[in-house]
Amino acid sequence: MTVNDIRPPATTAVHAGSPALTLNQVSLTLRRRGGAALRLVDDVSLTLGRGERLALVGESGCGKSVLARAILGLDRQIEVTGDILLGQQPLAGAGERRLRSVRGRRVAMVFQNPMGALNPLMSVGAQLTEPMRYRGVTGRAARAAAGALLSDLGIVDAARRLRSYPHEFSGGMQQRVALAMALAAQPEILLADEPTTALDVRAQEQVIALLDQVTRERGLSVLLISHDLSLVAGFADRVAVMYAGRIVHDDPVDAVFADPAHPYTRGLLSAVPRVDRAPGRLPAIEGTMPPPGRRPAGCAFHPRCPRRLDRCDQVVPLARPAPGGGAVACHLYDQTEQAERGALTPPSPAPNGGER
Amino acid sequence: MSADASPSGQPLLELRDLSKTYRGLGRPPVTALDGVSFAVPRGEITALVGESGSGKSTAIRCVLGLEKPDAGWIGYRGQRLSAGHGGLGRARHREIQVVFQDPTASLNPRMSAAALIGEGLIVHGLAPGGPGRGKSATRAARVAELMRLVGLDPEAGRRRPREFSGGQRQRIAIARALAVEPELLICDEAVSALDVSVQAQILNLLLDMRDRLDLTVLFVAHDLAVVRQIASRVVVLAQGQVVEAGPTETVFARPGHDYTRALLAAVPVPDPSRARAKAAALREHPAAEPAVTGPAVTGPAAPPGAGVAVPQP
Repeated sequence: MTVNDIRPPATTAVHAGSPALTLNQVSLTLRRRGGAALRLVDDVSLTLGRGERLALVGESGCGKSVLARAILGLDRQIEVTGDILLGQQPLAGAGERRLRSVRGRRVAMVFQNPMGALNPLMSVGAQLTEPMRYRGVTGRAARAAAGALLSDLGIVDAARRLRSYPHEFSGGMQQRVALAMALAAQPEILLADEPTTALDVRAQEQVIALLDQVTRERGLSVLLISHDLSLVAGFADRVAVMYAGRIVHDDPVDAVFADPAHPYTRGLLSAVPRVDRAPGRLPAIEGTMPPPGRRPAGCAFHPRCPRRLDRCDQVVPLARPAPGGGAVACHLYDQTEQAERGALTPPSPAPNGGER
Repeated sequence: MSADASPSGQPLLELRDLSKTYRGLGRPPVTALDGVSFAVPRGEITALVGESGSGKSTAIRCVLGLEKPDAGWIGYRGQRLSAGHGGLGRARHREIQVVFQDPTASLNPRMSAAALIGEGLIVHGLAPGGPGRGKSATRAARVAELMRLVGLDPEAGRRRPREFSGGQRQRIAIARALAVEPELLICDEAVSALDVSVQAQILNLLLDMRDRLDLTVLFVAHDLAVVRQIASRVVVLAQGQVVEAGPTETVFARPGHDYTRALLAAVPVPDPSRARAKAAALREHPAAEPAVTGPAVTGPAAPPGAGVAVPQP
């Protein structure tokens, strides 16, 4: 949707050159036996620059997790169309053999539930040294590297803890171990799917801070998937917002929070409870996100949108340049609409032109 | 901390010096509750806050009669709330209802939404007409009314839980709880698993129910931002002890305990520059495993950073 050089880097050095990961018009379809095909993700284009941290934000069922999993070809029953490029190397439609050479080694993934990634019968040390074999590090060197990795992730007395088993760690510690495991093979890209959702607030804050630190030190490109906008605020360079299978908004993080260009992003942000807000009712977005298979024509958000236009229920909005420098898929930003207003200014919160 | 006096007369629910220790063979005993006292005033939303392992689930399990405290007193309208083998007894089960975190686990997948919501009416004899499906026009009307109350389309009453979204299922669970006109609704992390936009809707729903039905809510949560939004009083629990209790405004403006301060500081803020500053500060002073800075621990405490799994009662 955007190229990775749309803005000067805000927090981390986003390296020029070819992006680490490119999704070009990717659609995902679930083929069910005897049933109709179900479109889960529609026409998603997204780039992840080298060293960039991109947050993919959306509500459950919007397709964000299945999209991340499709990058690594983790779901066999999902049909992928469009291009997925790791550097220059195509991944969409790649065979198991090639995907295996990528999974964990060049693109690593951490999930919400660390216990799902950790083998309960293997010591943490054994699990950490396993991926190191891919790059020929074994024996004493591997154990030393594993210890160093654990201690990078803030685990005290790491050398001794290598002999511990996953159940001996708390949830936050297990996620650190899972993160260490993901980093052990020295990947270029880390896909983190709701890595802190199962954790308590303080553990969550620390895991995100560690994720921030270890990926920064290693120059990793990170795709952080989350349903929680507040969580990604301090971490991401850029935020892509997904709704009902499509990316509707993709903007630098500061623009997203300062003046969200898409009505959905705006609605999501205002519904976030915060400690510095007056108590009482929250401005909720009415209705619910339609599930795959029941998505309406036109912009899928139109039934819930406070600013919908006449054509919103017919025409799928294309990605347009957003005022923040990214892109936004919303008819409010169509050229004609802007021409009517006589300027290329973003729509202010309460204009009265062209709305119902 | 002393039992927190209710601002308006007798509290609806009161816990006094509640203690509960779980003992298992071959493992050290876990003190889940250690002299917990707090009150839930009528017609208000009181939040019970704490991290996993703080004892908040044990506390409400004791209130619901699902767990027998070792010592202490639970009062309901000033009377001792006692649990027999079948829990609290039918009358109390009508008065005290609960909504859990995961509606999928608490709703029978083979029952329709309408049957789930109407079940309590049959059990407590609130809408006459016998247990047969669709036999009672009164009940059907009441179910439809409840569905509208929580923002569900009564037309969808014949659908099963799996045909609803997570937020809608939680609405079914709330409608089911409200059906029997409880006085006290206990929400155990009832919005934690929901998306922000749905969460906002459910929180607004709870505020509406408090205002329209004069419902008393005990809102068990770990998310302080959510608590700030809806609760008028807060009770902070750490390692089985109440470390702080009081009006939300006061506790949030002037937290009196380090643990409360630490919890408040960890709440993510949806503001990139402030969030980055916080992250930078954390990098400067990296903390190991969150050291539980609750009250003085009587048992052998884990050394900070030992990463010992906190047993979940």
